[in-house]
Amino acid sequence: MSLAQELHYIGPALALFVGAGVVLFADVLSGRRAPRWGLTLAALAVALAWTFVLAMDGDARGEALSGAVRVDAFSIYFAFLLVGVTLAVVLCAKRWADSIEQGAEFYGLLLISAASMVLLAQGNDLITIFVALETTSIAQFIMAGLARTDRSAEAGLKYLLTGSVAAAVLLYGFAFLFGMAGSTSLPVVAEYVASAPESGRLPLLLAFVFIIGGFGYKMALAPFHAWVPDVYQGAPSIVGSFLSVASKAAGFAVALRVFYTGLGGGDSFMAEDWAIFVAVIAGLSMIFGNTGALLQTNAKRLLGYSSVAQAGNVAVGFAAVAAGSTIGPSGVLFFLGTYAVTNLGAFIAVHVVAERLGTEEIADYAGLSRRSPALAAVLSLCLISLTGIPPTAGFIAKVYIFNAAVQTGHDWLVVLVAVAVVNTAISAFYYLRWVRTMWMDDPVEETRFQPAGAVQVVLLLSGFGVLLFGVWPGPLINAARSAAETLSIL
Amino acid sequence: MLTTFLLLPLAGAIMAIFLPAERERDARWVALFFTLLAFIVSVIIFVRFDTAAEGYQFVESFEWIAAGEAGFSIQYLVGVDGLSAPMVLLLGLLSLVGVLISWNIDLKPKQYFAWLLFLETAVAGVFISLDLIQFFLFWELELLPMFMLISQWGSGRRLYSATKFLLYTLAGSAFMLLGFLLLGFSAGTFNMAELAASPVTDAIVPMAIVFWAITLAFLVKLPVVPVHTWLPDAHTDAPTAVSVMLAGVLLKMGGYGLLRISLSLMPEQAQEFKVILAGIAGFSVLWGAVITLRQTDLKRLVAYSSVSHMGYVLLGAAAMTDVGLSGAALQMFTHGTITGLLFVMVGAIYDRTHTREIAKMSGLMHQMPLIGIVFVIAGLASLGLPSMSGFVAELTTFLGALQAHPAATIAAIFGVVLSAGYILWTVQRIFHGPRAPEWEHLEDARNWPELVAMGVLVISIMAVGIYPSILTNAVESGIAPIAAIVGAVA
Amino acid sequence: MSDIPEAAVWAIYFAPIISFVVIVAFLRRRPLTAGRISVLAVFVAWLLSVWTLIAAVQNDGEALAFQPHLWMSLFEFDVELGLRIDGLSAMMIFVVTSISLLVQIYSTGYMAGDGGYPRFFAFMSLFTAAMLGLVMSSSLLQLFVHWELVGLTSYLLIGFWFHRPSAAAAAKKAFIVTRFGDVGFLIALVLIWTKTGTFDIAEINELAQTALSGAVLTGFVLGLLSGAAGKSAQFPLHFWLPDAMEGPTPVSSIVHSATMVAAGVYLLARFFPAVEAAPGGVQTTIAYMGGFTAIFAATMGVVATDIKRVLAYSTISQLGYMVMAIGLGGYVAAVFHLFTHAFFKSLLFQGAGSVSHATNTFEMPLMGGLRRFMPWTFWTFLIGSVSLAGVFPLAGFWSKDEILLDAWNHDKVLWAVGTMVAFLTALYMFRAIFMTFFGQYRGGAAPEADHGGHEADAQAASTHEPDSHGWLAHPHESPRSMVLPLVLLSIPAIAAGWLAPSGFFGELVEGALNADLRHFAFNPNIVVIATSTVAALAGIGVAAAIYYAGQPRSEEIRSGLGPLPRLVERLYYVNEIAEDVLVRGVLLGGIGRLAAAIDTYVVDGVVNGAARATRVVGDVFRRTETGQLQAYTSVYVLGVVFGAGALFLFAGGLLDRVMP
Repeated sequence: MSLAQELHYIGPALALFVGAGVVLFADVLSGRRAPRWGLTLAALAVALAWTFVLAMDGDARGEALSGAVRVDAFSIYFAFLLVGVTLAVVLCAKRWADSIEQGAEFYGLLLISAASMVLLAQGNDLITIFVALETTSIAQFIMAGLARTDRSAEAGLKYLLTGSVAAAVLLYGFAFLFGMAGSTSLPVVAEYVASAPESGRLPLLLAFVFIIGGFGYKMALAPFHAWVPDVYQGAPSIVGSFLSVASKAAGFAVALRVFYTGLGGGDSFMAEDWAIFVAVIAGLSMIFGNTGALLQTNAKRLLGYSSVAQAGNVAVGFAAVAAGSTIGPSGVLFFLGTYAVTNLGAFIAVHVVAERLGTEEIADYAGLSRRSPALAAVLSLCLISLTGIPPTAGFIAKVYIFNAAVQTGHDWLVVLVAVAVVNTAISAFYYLRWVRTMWMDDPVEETRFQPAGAVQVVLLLSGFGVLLFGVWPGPLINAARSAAETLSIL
Repeated sequence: MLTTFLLLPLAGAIMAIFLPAERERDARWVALFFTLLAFIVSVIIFVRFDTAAEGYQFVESFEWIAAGEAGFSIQYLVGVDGLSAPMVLLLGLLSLVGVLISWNIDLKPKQYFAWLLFLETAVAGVFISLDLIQFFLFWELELLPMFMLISQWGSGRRLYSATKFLLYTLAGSAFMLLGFLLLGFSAGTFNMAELAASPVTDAIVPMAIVFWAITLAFLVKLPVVPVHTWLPDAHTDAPTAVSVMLAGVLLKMGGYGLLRISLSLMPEQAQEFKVILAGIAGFSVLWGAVITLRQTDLKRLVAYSSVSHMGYVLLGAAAMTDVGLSGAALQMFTHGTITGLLFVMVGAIYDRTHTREIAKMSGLMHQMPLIGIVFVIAGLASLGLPSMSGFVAELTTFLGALQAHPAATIAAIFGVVLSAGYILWTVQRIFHGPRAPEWEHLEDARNWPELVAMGVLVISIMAVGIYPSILTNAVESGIAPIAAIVGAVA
Repeated sequence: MSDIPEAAVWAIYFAPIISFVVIVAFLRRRPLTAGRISVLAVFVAWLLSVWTLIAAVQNDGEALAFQPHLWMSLFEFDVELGLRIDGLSAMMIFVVTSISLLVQIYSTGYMAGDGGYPRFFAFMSLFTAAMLGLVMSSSLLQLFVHWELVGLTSYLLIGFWFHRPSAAAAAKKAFIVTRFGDVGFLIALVLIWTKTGTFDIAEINELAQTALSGAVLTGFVLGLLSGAAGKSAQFPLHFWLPDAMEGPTPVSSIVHSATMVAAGVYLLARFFPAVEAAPGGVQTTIAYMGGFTAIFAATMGVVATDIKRVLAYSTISQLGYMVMAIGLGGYVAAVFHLFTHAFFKSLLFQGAGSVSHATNTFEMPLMGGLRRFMPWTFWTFLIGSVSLAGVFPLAGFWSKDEILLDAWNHDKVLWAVGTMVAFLTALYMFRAIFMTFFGQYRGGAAPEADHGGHEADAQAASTHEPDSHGWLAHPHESPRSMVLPLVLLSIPAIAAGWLAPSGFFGELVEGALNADLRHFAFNPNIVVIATSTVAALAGIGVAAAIYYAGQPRSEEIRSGLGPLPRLVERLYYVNEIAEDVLVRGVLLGGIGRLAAAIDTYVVDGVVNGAARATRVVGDVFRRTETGQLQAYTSVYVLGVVFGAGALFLFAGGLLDRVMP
């Protein structure tokens, strides 16, 4: 394989890494004026990375770095998603980054984390995956702690420590796989699993549990979610938005990849055990997330719980995948796509409010519709979409996923869907209460305010996306489908 | 044609929203214009509807989500038959009335009318959808405007009522979605016509569960005892126009779904459980009526009377005979106009007396004879006086139901006395008696929107009551196929 | 002119409807024109009704061949509108139009100056139309529709002076009580359609005699009976009628004496074949319900002091006679009594109205001696009373004896009851006459003065004496418009009975039945005649003794009878039982309160409880977020361990056993 093609394949990640390097270097060189540098450079880097992604031909198939990473519609789909989110975050971060001393470091870390996520989505080898996972995590630990507040520091620490436990567990799992398959390359592992002897099966199951544990932490699934509310609340809101969207998406991406490519997907001998295990986790996550969110008064913390609940929804689709659903994978991908748009909008909105009004209390959102109509409108749309009420993307995504679960024809998945739909009703309570506060309660003060231009663009885009994918989801669904199809093909 | 009817109000809503702030009061003219257009379209649809032809008419369709076999695809598929055509007409009529009686809304008129129009679109979608998922989409779509309208322009414990309405309906429809997915999976299509042509006989889970999962949502919407308690609260605290829409068309969604989906798509189960349904119906009629007798709040009284009257719809449906089903369909239409008018009058009284306490009013006939007379007309219609539409519907229901459910039918017939009781007692307490000095300042209905609203409703009630054929021919053509389906498995 | 075009008959029905529409639409501000239009319309109807009657007579009372018209068709549920003109209905049409015509002429005087004058005539026209529609219907459904409309107009007319709480209450009561009876009617209607698939009266009667099972007939006829009991105020649904006297007197004189309340009897007569075909028990029930009502109401008539209420109880009692006759198979007798009763009872009510017109009151203790002031009223009222008392040779005598004769032939008990009723009837009527027209004038009452639109004002306006004290001094005869109807009505009150001996009437109305049910023959029984005449004269005598001669005085008798009079005066506490105990107590207070409580605290409580429970769970979960790292990590590890353990347990298909 030619070097040019290699570079092309790892282009996005490379661009981000290089960008990170440049930003940090520039920071070292020029002390004070670094932040502005940082922003421009970071933006450039991400834009470059995105162009690389866009330049990739959707039907491209192949491996790079001697099989460490692979490029296919699946990884492109996620690369597109992750880089896009990163770009949005960069655009919205300026004001906050300027306010702290290590603004440039933030950009650097953001890029590093993003780069590793892209690699994660491309990962074709246990080592690549693990390293990428750790790199992105470490970057995120630091980002979470960047704000010089106790909460922030505490959040970073918690994230780090629980993260390290998860890493350890994941490593166990990988070790098992390696030990049995004798290789870290997913395709090889897959071959072993496909022909796994009776003796090898229980260890494999164990490995699987460990892996789920490891990824579950990233995906924010119960019971591996405990850190989520604290960290989301503690971390700077802009970082929170990055975590809640990108990090989670990457988690699901790699989980899908490992499971599908590595462990043989729905054909694997342990598929049903898998499915039920995931189903249980999904149920737990939804119930815990939604009920926990009911009484929250802090916007970010509420979004934390909601993100656990939403992870549960995705996991429903994931269980469907495991149970051999043909439309499951595309369902999960579609859901993650819409979720990214939706949650990004919500979190950025929260970020803006925190910045401008200096509050994260939902009660202080009273009368937001009068103080910043566009902002309130976008946030409302996103929350409605999270509830899963039409005409928003969330509705389609939910129906899609639940449909996938039912289509497997397993009655216990029907039970899971029943749990899921009930949770939908519960979630309506806290999401719409928030919406109502914005539109119906009287504001403490009438002063109007507007987010910065770039932020407005991001907000409007996500609001528009929420509606677009709710009314015209066809294109995204097709993208998700073609991406999903490449999963199973080795 | 139908799509026009569907989108006209939406267009109006958008236009209303984008009115300049200083001209916000013109929103009512925008609303009037578009609801009037929509009404005209609905009349054209009803008139041009060919009662001789079979199947759906004015059908329009395209692949809405075209994601092929491995993906999940939804049709946009609309059409009307003799069952939905009257509902469309009713919707067009009552939306127009709703706008007229909201003429003097001055709290955020732009949003108010926008939501009102949005509501019309949502409900229209329910009545004309021929695809289960699409049906469900519009079913959920209607929640948002209702929630906003009640909680923002309502009175009393509007927040509690709005939330209750929302969660109650969501909880009901949650399982409906599950049921739809199960049906769709077993039949391989969400197209109602195809599903009706060859009803699903077994699903992943017992069909009985599917049937109840779906039917529950309709029973909640109807509503029947014991899942009715959201209705009085919602009605009491909703603004007048919303009460009119709620009683007039939203409740009908329940009855419509019952006939169109529960009976037509799952005839065997419907037959199997018809005794239970009839029991619920008879019980609702009496229970609702008895509680109505005790109400002291005028609006609550009318609301509870709806519970009683919608029992007739369920009774007719449970009869499963062509005449009985026709009775249900007729009752849906007539109750829409009659109770709609009752709520218009309640609103007219409330606007003047600023109280809904029956005990506080007396002798109002002296100050407002016209309002009094129209109220009496509405009341007589509601107690099923011959020559008014209510009688036709109730009699048809009884004729159709006696054979199948003698006990429930006789119970329902006794409801007729009770309704005479509460209606006439109310009339006596509010309008009769000597002039009350404290009400001397009241003035009768004068402004044209009010008069037009009353006029069209009175005319429609009388017309159907005196010459029912204008309605029955359409209904017959719509009910015949349904009766054939349920009859086939009897 | 033996055959009458269908259109002409329909015109009878539509004339008053048109007048109603015209008045409502154009004449709300033009009272006098409204009155004239209404009278004109009913006059036209009357002329045509005469033509109809002639046609019916020349057709030997058999149904004229009119084809029904399909009005609405919904699967097997067809609604046909048609005319059934036979001896029975033609007679009824004639009665209704005649009485309506006279009453409306009377009203032009009686209601003069009332604020609601146009409204009154609008309602009157509507009532006339509804009543005509009722009697000329060829289908049970069509009949029922007008039956309800008649009820509506009755409601509107009783509550005509809605500013009076008592009137409003009475109107509501009348409607609801009659509607309670109509539940039975409605059930019967639905039942018979379910069994026969038709509403056509002739067909139903036909099938009743040939096809229908005893059970169905029992249900059907009892249903009709329940409807009839409501409309014709038969025990136990009789108690609305006396209150209905709150309506203007002309209303009482047509709606609540001559026509509407007779509709119940007409209904039973209309379905006489079905009644006959029904099991014997049913007829006995009918007969005894009638008989009991007759005597029950008569006793209350004896103690009432309000002259209109006396007439109301009398009406109930007489209707009881008719129902009894139907039960005894005396079709002709019942219809004949209906016929004669219509005239003299309407006459009596108008007389009472005329009296109160002079005295401002219906309370007989406040009247007295009016014989001198208002001779016309006196003499006509006397004629009516004698006729009602059943004294030879006036109308009441003939029709009543037909009934008593049937009783004598079939059931001696009922015959005895009937004779007793004859005695009581004579007693209370002459009690009324003596209290009202004889003795000293006791001053009447001052006119009410609360609202611009009721009797008192009507009277003030109809005379040239604005000074209301004038009343107390010397009451006066009523205006011509009121006296004329009195005179005209006394003619049939005297002579209507003479149609009996010739058998003319019998043959006419029996034409409505099919041949095998026609067995009318005029063969008087001397015993019956003698006893009833003796009873009537005795009644008159006793009345004269007590209320004219004052020997013995009524108070003495009272004290002699112990608690009985009190019981009767309180109307046997039926109102209390119905309204206070059953409605307010059981329905509202008991069932209603219980249901409302359950609805609020149990049904709704569960809902709110579920919501609360969810929050509690949420709160618990929320508290697990202690923020302590150890907790988090241990949860995490436990998750993994449990997961692993679970898989170890369930792996290898164990799952399939625990989760099939």
